Amino acid sequence: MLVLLVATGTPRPAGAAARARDGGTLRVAALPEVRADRTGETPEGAVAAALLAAPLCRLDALGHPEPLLATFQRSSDGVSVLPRPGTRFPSGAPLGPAELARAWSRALERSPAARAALAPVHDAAATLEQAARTRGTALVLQLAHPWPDLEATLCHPALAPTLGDGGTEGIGPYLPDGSDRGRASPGFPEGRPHPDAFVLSSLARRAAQRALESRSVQVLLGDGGEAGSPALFATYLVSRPAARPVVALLAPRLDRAALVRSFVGGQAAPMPGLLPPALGGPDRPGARPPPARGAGTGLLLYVADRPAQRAVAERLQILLRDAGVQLTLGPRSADALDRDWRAGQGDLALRSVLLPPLPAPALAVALELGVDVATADRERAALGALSDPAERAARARERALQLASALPVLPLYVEGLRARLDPGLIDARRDGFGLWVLDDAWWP
Amino acid sequence: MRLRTLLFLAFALLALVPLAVSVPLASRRIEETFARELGARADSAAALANSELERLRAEVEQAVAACATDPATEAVALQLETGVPPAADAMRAVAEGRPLSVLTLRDAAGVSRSSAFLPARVGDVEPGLAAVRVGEPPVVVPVEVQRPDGVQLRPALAAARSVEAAHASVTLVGGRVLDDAWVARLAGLTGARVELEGPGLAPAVAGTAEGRTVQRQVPLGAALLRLAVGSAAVDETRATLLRALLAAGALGLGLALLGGLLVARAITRPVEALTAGVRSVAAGALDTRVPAAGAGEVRVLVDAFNRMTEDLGHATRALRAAEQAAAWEGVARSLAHELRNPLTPLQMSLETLLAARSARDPRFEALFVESAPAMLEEVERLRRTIDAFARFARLPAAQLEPLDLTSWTEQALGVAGARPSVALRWEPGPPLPVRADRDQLAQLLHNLLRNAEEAMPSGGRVTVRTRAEGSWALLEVEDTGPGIASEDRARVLEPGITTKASGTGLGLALGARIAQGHGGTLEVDGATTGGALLRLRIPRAEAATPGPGSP
Repeated sequence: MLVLLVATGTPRPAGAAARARDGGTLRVAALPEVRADRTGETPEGAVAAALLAAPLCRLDALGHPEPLLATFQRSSDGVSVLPRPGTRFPSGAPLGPAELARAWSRALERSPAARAALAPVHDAAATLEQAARTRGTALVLQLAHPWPDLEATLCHPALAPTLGDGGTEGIGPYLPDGSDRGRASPGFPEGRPHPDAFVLSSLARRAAQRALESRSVQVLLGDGGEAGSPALFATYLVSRPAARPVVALLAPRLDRAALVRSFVGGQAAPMPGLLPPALGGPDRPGARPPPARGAGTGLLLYVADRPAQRAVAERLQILLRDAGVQLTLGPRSADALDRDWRAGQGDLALRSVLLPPLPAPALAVALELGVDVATADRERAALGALSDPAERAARARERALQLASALPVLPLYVEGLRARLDPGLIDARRDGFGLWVLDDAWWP
Repeated sequence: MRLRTLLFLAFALLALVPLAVSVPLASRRIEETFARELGARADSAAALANSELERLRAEVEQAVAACATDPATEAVALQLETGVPPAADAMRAVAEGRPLSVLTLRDAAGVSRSSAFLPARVGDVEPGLAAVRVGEPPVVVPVEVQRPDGVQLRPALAAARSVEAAHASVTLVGGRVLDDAWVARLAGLTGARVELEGPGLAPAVAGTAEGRTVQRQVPLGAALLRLAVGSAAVDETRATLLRALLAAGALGLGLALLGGLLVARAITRPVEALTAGVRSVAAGALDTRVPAAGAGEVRVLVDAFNRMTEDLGHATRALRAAEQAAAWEGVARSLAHELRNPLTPLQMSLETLLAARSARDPRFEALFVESAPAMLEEVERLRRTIDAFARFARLPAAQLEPLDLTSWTEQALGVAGARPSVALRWEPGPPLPVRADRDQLAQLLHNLLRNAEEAMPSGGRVTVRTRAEGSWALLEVEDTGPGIASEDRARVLEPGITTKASGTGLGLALGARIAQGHGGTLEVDGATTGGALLRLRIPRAEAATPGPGSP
């Protein structure tokens, strides 16, 4: 069954009768943990980041890519990415295939979502490296195996083209105008946003809630959410092979519902399977074996800036203590966690990834987290061979259930976008990832 | 051992005995005192710990009671009743600013519903906190303390209160973890090493206790508080005191020894002076006087000694004068005898000649011829007697020179003549280097040989021998004559004394003077053959001074 994603969720029906007006300043409040997500890996961080660095394309409600900064041309053995002519960064640098290749090379170094998205590309790292040195009009991505969902996954926020070593300069509806400010970009491919500018403020939860209630801000990032919105920000507990016994001790003690209820909160749901319920994954866990006791030690890495991860990590520490395992917590920044985990540090890690809204690419992310390259290639190739989207999605769900016990990836919970909008805000819409697109938002 | 040394040692012993008795006693008393002090410190530490625990109990009780009525707590409890689970760490806001490190809201089943410090336990029953009953005083229970490096069980002082605002039975449990910081604070407060431990609890230790330790235990229910007071500081003070005691003892001992030395010196100085005086008197210095020193009996003794030497001097001088007078009497008697003997024949011969001349006796010529040689012989005899006395009187000082007494005697005997009836036997001893006057020594040997010959008018044997005796060189002349009676042996060396029918009595006296001139003596003894034995004893050249045992 094709997943129907809710793509429109404005607080009130699109004000078709009203005429959109330009002008004004869009005021956005963000909780501290959202501000800490500078690279836009969380849904809230991605919404904030998209104001200045839009993704390459946007997924519609059906998961179809809508070209934004580039278009795609599929060939028999690959996909060519063609940046829109005349698209430039705020510094004036044009967005060409080389710039795109460099941005994606950087994304490969820090984001499992980016690695999963480009995994079907034949020798992606070398391809990007070569493309970064050549000039042309298209970035040709030759596929190692058929992968019909490539274009959709290239719309992931993690692959938003950015410039510079830090990857901070992107192409968005707004141009940076000082710290935490932006002004409308007249050259944005979709046209300038209605507001003249935006201001991003960092506020504590209570202050941000009061600001929204008093209409001092139009958008609150990091709090609230809508029950019907897709929850795709999945958190897995990944483990080294040597730590599989620890995970085996943990699994029977793990009550995902209680975990979500007491330690995650917000728009979160238990995720018993590799795919979240929003993508057809199971919403109830299977039968749990009786808890057993063991012994041992372990190091669990988690992202310190994410309160939910910290709370879950502490809960896992307690549960494993009951199981006889002494777990040490290793707080890291998001970048450091990805780097350290890939460097071999830690026995366990909490990995949170914004999944693509399609089952097969979402499963590819779980496979990427599982580190087993051969298995991932084989599974992706098998899925990519199915040209029918519905059949591919069904097979992906089936394989997700079958692989759940084999992969060193224990799904824990999935979160949706934690954001609240001023009810007076018009024409804010959600994309396929469930993220608010504020480009067209305006208020009377 | 000298008296002074003996007295010094006696004083030292007298000083040591009290020290040997008092120092160990004082040391033991110091040990006992400090042991009591150490025990008192341990008791004080335990009392302080109990006081701190009481203060903490009151603080916890008050803080938990305040939290139970806090509107924020009531709000969380009411939220719990509505079925909407509160945030796991919702109680964190309640705990802010309060002296608590345990604060958990639990439901009727004892399940933690929100926790300020252990939200990871929400949904579970915390076994330690389950033992905390509402309304009871704070008790020590084991609680989990979550750290990045793991979860530890630590003791906590906790109390429970009902949250009145909630309809359901919602309980608030709060308390203070007795953590490392608290143990360190307690260690600082009590000055003891504090150990907090219990079954399954992570041990906490703070403070130090060096040296011997005295321990006190404070049971806390689920934990045991152990306080150990070290003796290091007390030991240092005790060591200082002992050092001071020993220094005082050593100083006292030194002063006692010095005093003993001075006292012994004061006591022994007159005694030593008396000893020296006695030795001087023994050596013949009869005018020796000991300076008046000392007091009491010693002074009386010194005075008595001085009076004694004075009296002895007087007596000796009187005896010497008497002896001189007796000697002169002997000399005069001998001289008179020696002179009278030739004078009588001379007188008789002259009277006979005078009578024959007066009577014109025709035998006058014959008488003259017959008497004149006899008269000349008597005159010669008179002259020899007078020469002998003259030699005795004019004996010069000995000119000492080194010589070997044995070799010299052998050479002297070679030229000495003897009557055919007297056999001379020579028994040489080892080489005996001496310092002697050759002429006087020859005179002495001649006198001794002649004395022996005269003692054996009908012949006999004279044995001459040399030998060594200690530091002395001996020359002995032994005859086989009748010998000298024991009572006469001391007198025969006096001038004019002789046991023979003829003789001046000066031969042995002269020999005795020669022996004296050589630093020796002439001894008269009896020979084993019954004859006389005359022995010359003079010091050997290598002997600087005559040793003990000299005659």
